[in-house]
Amino acid sequence: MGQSYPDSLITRPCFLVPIDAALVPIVAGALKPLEERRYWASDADYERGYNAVVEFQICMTKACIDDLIESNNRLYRLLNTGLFGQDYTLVSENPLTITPAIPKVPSIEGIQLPGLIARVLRLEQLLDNALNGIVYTDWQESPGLRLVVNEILTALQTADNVDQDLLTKLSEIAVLLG
Amino acid sequence: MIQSQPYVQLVGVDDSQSVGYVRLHVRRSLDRTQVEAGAAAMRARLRSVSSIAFVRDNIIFPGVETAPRTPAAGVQLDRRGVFIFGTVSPDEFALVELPGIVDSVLVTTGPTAGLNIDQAAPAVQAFVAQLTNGSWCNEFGYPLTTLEAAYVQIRV
Repeated sequence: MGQSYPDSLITRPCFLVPIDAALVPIVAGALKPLEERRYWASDADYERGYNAVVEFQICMTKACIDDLIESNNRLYRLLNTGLFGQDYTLVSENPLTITPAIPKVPSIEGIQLPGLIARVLRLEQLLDNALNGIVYTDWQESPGLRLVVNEILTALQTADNVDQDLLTKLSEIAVLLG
Repeated sequence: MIQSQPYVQLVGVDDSQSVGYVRLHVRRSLDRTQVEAGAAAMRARLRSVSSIAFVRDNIIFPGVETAPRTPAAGVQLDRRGVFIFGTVSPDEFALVELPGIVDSVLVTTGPTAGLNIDQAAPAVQAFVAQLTNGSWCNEFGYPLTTLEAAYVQIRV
């Protein structure tokens, strides 16, 4: 009594089965009986079963766990460079060594350009300095626009012969600056 | 290489599905079509004198190497290079196993060192090109096209 091809084969989820590289030749080789007609119940079962088993053997050396983990590490480095501006150095290809090593816990220390967070922080400081005159390492304008505009507005409000249209527009700018 | 005497195996099964065959040698002067016709005629005659069920004919044109080389010391048949191909049909594959794969064509670095066959090795590329030249097919008649994977297996 041969084996029927499981009709649910492509509708069920797949499992990732880790096999030590040293065992792959033995485990894969043990599948040989499944490639033979006598294992299957019919010619149709045989053709479908043969192709499923052979396709499975294609996968056996293509999804190395180390490769999968390394692809995760590459994503981590991509995010860490993009967000925090961390530079990485390829020290060697084999064995793959990249510095700095990925820490167990991400750190927000050392945020730097061209990371996205450093870029946003810099823009935030620029705005704070321009509007409020708060001094930062890279932005040291003082006083801020708010104070300057309010000082101009106060001076004009007490002056004679001021263009009321200009005064209105200046008041609107002061409101916009908050 | 010389051609040895061709023969026909008329394969049958008994009531327990055990396999047996009648083996008959054929005159070398006959071509394949003539041998096939002869096998079909013989099968019809055998039904009257044997109770087994004849299920298959094997027609063999054996070739015998006149000066075979000496196998490498320690080489084992079971350690095989397995080459898996896609075919002209996306759902059809073909597995070709090569007994006694040589170590010099195996990958030497990375996680598949000693396991994967180096598909860039000239000897491998020549072998693969020969297999994908349109002459060779899988067990279901689909010609081999692209090499999908190649690695070592222990096949007993």
